[in-house]
Amino acid sequence: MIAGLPRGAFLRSTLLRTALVWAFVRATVAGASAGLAAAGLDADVGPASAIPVLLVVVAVVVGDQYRRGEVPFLRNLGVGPVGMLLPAIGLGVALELLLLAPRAF
Amino acid sequence: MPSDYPLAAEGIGKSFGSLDVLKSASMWAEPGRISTLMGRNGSGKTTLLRIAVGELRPDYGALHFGGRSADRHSLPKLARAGLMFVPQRGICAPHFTVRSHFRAMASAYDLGDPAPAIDAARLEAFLDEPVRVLSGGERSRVSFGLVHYRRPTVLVADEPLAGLAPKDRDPLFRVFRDLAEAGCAVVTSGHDAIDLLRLSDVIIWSVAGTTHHLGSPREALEHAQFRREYLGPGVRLD
Ligand SMILES: Nc1ncnc2c1ncn2[C@@H]1O[C@H](COP(=O)(O)OP(=O)(O)OP(=O)(O)O)[C@@H](O)[C@H]1O
Ligand SMILES: [Mg+2]
Repeated sequence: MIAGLPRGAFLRSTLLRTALVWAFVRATVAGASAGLAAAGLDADVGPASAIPVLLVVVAVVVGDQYRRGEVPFLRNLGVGPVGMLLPAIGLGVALELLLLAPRAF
Repeated sequence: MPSDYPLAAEGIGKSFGSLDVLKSASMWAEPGRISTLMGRNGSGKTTLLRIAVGELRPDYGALHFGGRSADRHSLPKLARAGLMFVPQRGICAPHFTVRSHFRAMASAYDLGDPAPAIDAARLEAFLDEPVRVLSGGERSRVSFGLVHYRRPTVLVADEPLAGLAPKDRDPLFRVFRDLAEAGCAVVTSGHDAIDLLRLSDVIIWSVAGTTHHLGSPREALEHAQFRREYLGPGVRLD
């Protein structure tokens, strides 16, 4: 059985950090590709960018949980590494779908 | 048999690079009793406790939890089955309030009213403070308030007395005693010899990569080598 973060401040804070990091990464990618396009280079950011963006977002969010000393408590709550990854992956995938889905149709 | 105990680590070996910290060390947690690991700095007490609860992988040795054997343990899994591990720095997340720790615990384990635990640990005044603004002793009260609330079946606490003023130890002792009386198997460690000898039922001596189960605190005090090599001459119970 995999235990996720319990509802409440810990889950909320992880989701908020995920959203912020995702927005920052996406803004950076958009800025960089606009810059490349202005320089006349082909820099279309298609659906293929979703995977690296998600990897970065999840790594930053989980890294932050370690950095801020949340792990000893989470482990005592029964939340293992997979449980810690779930909220960031879940919200990250949802945000990527929202962003990329309109282009697919 | 160690495997009959709720938590046991048997014949554990662990090296860090060329440093052989543990060669054949064992510990077991007995229901209803407080067992305490004592030993010189660097003798491997923390290493052995972390291996026992699944926070570190042993090089060799056997681990048991709840009658089952395993090559390695995982703390989240043991925690869901009723164990709590409190490392020396406590278990609190510094950026979250005291209240959100109790709420998270309530939600993870479906626990009832936290008021008695909050009361016993004297935490009302700090409930809405983030843990990072609390003093070391106050943080320790939060950690053990959470232990009191969770009521684990096995509690492993590394150096729970470190940094606590003598007067502030009594409430902690009460939490440990209370849990043990309810059948919890408690394992601790530390250097506050007199307090720990008073608190404990069983003394385990960690020395030279191995462990010696000395029996009751009284028996430990009568162990000439333990007295000579760890306690020193000044320590007595009465
Ligand atoms: N992750 C690690 N990497 C390298 N060496 C380590 C690591 N963890 C522990 N050690 C070494 O292993 C030895 C035992 O450490 P441990 O923390 O288990 O001792 P201890 O008995 O708990 O000591 P103390 O009473 O000071 O808390 C020490 O020499 C320490 O430097
Ligand atoms: Mg230690």
